[in-house]
Amino acid sequence: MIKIDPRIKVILILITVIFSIFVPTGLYTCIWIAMVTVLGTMLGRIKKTIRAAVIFAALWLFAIYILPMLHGTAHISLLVWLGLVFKCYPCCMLAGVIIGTTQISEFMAAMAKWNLPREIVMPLAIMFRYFPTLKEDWGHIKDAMSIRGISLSPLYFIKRPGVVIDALYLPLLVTASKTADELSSSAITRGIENPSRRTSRLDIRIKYIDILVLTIFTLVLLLGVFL
Amino acid sequence: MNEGKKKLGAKDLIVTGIFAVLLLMAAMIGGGPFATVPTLTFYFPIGAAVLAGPIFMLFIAKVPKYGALAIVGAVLCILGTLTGMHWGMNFGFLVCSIIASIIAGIGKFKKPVLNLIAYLVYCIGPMGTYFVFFFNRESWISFMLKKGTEQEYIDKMSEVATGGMMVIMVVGTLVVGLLSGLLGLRLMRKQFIKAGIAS
Amino acid sequence: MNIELNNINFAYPESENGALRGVNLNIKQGDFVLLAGFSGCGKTTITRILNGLIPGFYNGKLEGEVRLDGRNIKDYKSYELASKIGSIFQNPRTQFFNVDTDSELTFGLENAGVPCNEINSILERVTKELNIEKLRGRDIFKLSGGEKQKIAFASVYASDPEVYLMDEPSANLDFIGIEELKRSLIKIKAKGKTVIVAEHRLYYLRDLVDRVIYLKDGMIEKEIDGDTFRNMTKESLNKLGLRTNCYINRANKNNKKIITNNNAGSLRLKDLSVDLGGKRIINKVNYEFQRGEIYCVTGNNGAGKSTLLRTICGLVKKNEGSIFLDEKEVSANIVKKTAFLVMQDVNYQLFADSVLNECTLGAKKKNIELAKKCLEEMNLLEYIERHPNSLSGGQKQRLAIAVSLMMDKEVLLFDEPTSGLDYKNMIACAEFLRRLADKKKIIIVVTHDEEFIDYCYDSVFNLSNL
Repeated sequence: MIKIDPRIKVILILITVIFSIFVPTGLYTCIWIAMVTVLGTMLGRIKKTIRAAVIFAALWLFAIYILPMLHGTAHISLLVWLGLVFKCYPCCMLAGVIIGTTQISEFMAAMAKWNLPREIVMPLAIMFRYFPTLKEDWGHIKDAMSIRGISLSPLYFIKRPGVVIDALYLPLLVTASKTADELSSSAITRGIENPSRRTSRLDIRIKYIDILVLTIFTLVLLLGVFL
Repeated sequence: MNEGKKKLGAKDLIVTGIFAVLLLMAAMIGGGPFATVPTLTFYFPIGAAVLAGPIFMLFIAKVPKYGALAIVGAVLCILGTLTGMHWGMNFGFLVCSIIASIIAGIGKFKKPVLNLIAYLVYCIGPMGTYFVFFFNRESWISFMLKKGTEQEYIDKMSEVATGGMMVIMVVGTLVVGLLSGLLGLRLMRKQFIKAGIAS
Repeated sequence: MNIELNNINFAYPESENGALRGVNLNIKQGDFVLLAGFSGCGKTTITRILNGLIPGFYNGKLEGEVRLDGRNIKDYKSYELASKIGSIFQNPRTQFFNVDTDSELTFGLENAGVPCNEINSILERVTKELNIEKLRGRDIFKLSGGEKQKIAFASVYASDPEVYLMDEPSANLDFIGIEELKRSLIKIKAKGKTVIVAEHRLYYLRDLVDRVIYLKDGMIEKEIDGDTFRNMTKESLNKLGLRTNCYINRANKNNKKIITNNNAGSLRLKDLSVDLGGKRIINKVNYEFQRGEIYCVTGNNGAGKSTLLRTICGLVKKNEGSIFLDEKEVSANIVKKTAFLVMQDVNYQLFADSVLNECTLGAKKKNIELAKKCLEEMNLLEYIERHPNSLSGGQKQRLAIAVSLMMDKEVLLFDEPTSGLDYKNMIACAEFLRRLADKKKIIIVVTHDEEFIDYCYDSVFNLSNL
């Protein structure tokens, strides 16, 4: 297992964005996915990375072997859809790997080294913290609705739109506000407002492995653009 | 960017992060089904405007400062860029959020009409990508798809993407945004203020 | 650190609850102080003034003077206070900032800009001193409430403050979690730290307390020294509206009443098994819940208490076995229509803009008469126009019960109904449950509040002993 600096990770994503813009879908897309797969596995995110790679392979094979057999609107819609998917896949997959293997504290400390403003870094960090909480809250709210016999089906919505709207927004926003308050008071009492530069328990430094990964990605990008 | 009366404190930034998630989810749940189907992709901004109104209204009531909305825009722009979304959409988010922040700020974030207009401006954000499509079709296609896409596809896209389509998209988004924003204002009065989560 | 509160007056902008009036208090370094009193008596407010959340975070009018080691608290920045005063809050779910435990433990140190190698040596030391090897490197979202609270404590401990402030730290913990908390408290007391705890549940603090500050309506009504407190009887504490100061021994009386009357009907589980995520959570449970009795379900973390409730009210599908209501086997759909769950966090369940509308929400015909009757039964009639979210915790709970009465539910399930309730509200909760039982409802309560169980149970069903 390796570790790479969050700053390098951000640069890798930017490289992938450039890749998506300038390199047409084709062999290089597959190479790129293979590189992301290797990177993800080496960073310790094994199962999900391989799953994503398998899904990509399935779609790719479908596009090559089955798609040409279709005709008309189905052909066009799938072609367009797959075209978009293949464009976004490298970025989304890499983003998944990076979000899954970067800790919030590590990210915040690395961004502090870049002197990125707290106004951007802190909300971003909170977003990653809040997604799982929102998922839990949403599960509870769905349960609560079901206990009351309120359903999210379109039919029920047409019958009682007001009830669905209230049941959707009120508990969600009340708990979100509560979470925001409690999280802030906890963060403030632990010194988040300290203006001195954040440190991290992890050693955030650019090492050989970082340079190596960065070089490989850059080389493949250049090959893809100029060949 | 306009510096508000007070700087954003830790609490404001945390609230902003949480509401950025809620706004993002609202856009994804409302617009997601449209985005994945090619012929419906132009209706994404309409779908994205459906759910967010009440969240938007509560958010500006909770953090009535310049900059808060702009941060949401910036954060969504960064996330969009990192996941390979089209730059038209990402910067659309950013620019529209900043403008919305200024509009709502004129009324000190308390005037319902201005807040409503701010929400409409915010809803225009995701249209950025489609504007690029209309004004610079070549660049859009080369961004979104491989070079040398089949002629068939370009024909199909041009066929679907007429001027009428754009009108539907803009008007549709504004109408839906208006309804969602009005719902937001209503919920503010009827629910959130009484519930003590906004003042 | 010496703490001085001089003639403190405070009021929140929109609520009378939690205001302080003329509070004078001196706390010496090393004191273990318990702040006790009813909900809304102002004990939480005192903790918030000391950690600077008032006036920094909560608005309101603050008068008087707070001095820490002789220096006015106003002269401290929030992050300077953070290094001297550590705070632990009630809700373990919302007080962590990170997703993984290691980062959370070092969060305070990272904020303060402590160098990397120093952080790591502190982390190792804290791990050893608090025995949390098992909790290192974990996903916080997958920890139990007790483990989360332990991480919260450890992360404050890592910053080594002079004063520990705790606001109902046990509210969401089970028996084992509270014991762990107690052990941590013993450790910091031995280190000579100042500890200030605002709490309803007192038994676990009994041997630790040096002083009890009893607050009423925002004023310090009396101060009780530790030894007097330890010798107080349950009755004299109850008279003050406080909970017991002793462990409750319920060992040999698992069934208070022998149930003979079998005519009223029952809810019977036969060989009930439930799998969640490929894991068997509940395995072949057989039990009968009679109408008119109060059943308390206990058991350790992960014994499947919540899953049992969720299965009975149809939120989770059972894999094997059957459920009989009044001796008739019922399908999941019917169960869903007859059962109602009052969740631990009732906020999820309240949707409407007023108490009255909450009762009539979703009903085909608005039956205001019935709603008023149900609200009266739950002592909520005077709040009919209020917004549900502006009610107190106990009132919200009763509103949810009123809703279940409106819906004519037969089976009422409660998940930890007394977490965070003071003595008065706990007793009120028990009384209301008794009233419901007398209406021949089936009442099943999942709880680890021994004091509450002791007060109201008819029968205890320990899920982990099966």
